[in-house]
Amino acid sequence: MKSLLILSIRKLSVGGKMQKYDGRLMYKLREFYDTVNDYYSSMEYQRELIKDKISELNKFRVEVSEKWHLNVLDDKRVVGVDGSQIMPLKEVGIPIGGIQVAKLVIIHGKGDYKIQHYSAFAGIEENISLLRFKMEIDALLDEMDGKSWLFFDGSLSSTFTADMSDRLREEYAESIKFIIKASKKTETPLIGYVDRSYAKDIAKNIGVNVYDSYLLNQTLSFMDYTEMFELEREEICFSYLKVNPGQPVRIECPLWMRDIQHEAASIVFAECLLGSTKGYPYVLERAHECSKISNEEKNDFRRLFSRDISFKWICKVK
Amino acid sequence: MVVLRVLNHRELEAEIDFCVGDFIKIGDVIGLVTSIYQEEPEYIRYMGNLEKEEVKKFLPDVFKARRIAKCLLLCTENLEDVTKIPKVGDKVEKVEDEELRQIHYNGEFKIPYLIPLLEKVEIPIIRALILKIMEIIPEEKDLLEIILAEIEYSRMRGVEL
Repeated sequence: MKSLLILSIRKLSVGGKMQKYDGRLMYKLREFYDTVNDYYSSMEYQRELIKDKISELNKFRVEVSEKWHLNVLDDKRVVGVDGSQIMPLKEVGIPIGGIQVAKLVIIHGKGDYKIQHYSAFAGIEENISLLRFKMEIDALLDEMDGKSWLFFDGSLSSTFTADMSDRLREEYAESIKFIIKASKKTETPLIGYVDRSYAKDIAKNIGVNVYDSYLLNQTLSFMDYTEMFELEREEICFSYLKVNPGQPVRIECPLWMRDIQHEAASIVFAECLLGSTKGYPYVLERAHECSKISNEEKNDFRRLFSRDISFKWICKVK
Repeated sequence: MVVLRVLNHRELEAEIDFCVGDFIKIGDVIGLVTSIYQEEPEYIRYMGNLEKEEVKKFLPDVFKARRIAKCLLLCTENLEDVTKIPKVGDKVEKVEDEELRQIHYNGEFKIPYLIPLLEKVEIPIIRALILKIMEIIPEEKDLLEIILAEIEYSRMRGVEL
């Protein structure tokens, strides 16, 4: 009876309700392990139920020879943007944080490149993640030249804003709409690269509650990719690509790019093969490297600007 | 060309294209390039089955290794002790000859940082520095020649033959 009860509670917790336990978290590793197993069993069960439907999805494959990726990228102008941030340092009396965005432009095969940095400060009352997002979008907007391939590290769909306030949701949506429109107008390919996607668009369409990337993990082999699907109510389409042995990654593009989806997939695969891990786009890996604020820099920032130290914080760190 | 790392209150590292013995300026602080090293190029991580030439063409941003210059802070523009230490990201400029002359020769010749510098850097760098000052302040050539000879002689006395 007791075990049945626990099982039903675990099922509920998978569905989103919180299960509380008495005692310290680290003594609950067994329960955590069981919860994870139940969670995956449930997803596995649902995946098995719709196995046939999944295998009916259109999928494609790129055939790769030794230096295929160099041929694909030769003469292509590729742009990657990423950012990092320092949250407001409340503990040391600074209600202001910082944002650093880096843009890397490379013309593959020509040996040309440029790196640009942008930075800004933001008060505690502002949403730093939103400001960073806007700065990254702005950096890409400057490159809408009709021939570059633009990479954004993250989603272009507004579904990730679902739990946010109306104001934030609107601001994100406005930025996204703006860049999608600019991409369409200038015919500049734009790729939102989501390395770990928890979207459920395909799954919901079929009628199950599983992540798409999990659903497709066994269907797609290395170098396979799905057709482009249109995202309802948004001018966006998406596809899943198996760029590495892990779960498929998701790319999101403006709807007009459906016509060049195979070229887009080739560019993404080629960029991944160029990266140091052979499984993540080179241009984003480097943009991340350039935008990163190191711990050393963060500490310098704190040291230089600290004012009134919080005694609560001293209690925590002593 | 910016400050990359502040090592202590007297030394810092900067990404600059200057030479050992060049004078630099960060705000109102004057310094001297004392050594240069090259960071290990990042392209090794990306090579895989690519030739070096392919890396240069396709991954140009990792091909170039940064040249890092270690700089010693000497004094301020007014030849006073450095009390305000430059920060990471501060702009580094080369001090032009005319400005260098004005700093050291404003009515009378002054080079107050020389003695502490002797304990910090190698003789060839000191020699280059004195020769440089001799070139831009020819009026003090005789005095500087004596200083240079004295430095070299005192070092020779320390060598057991």
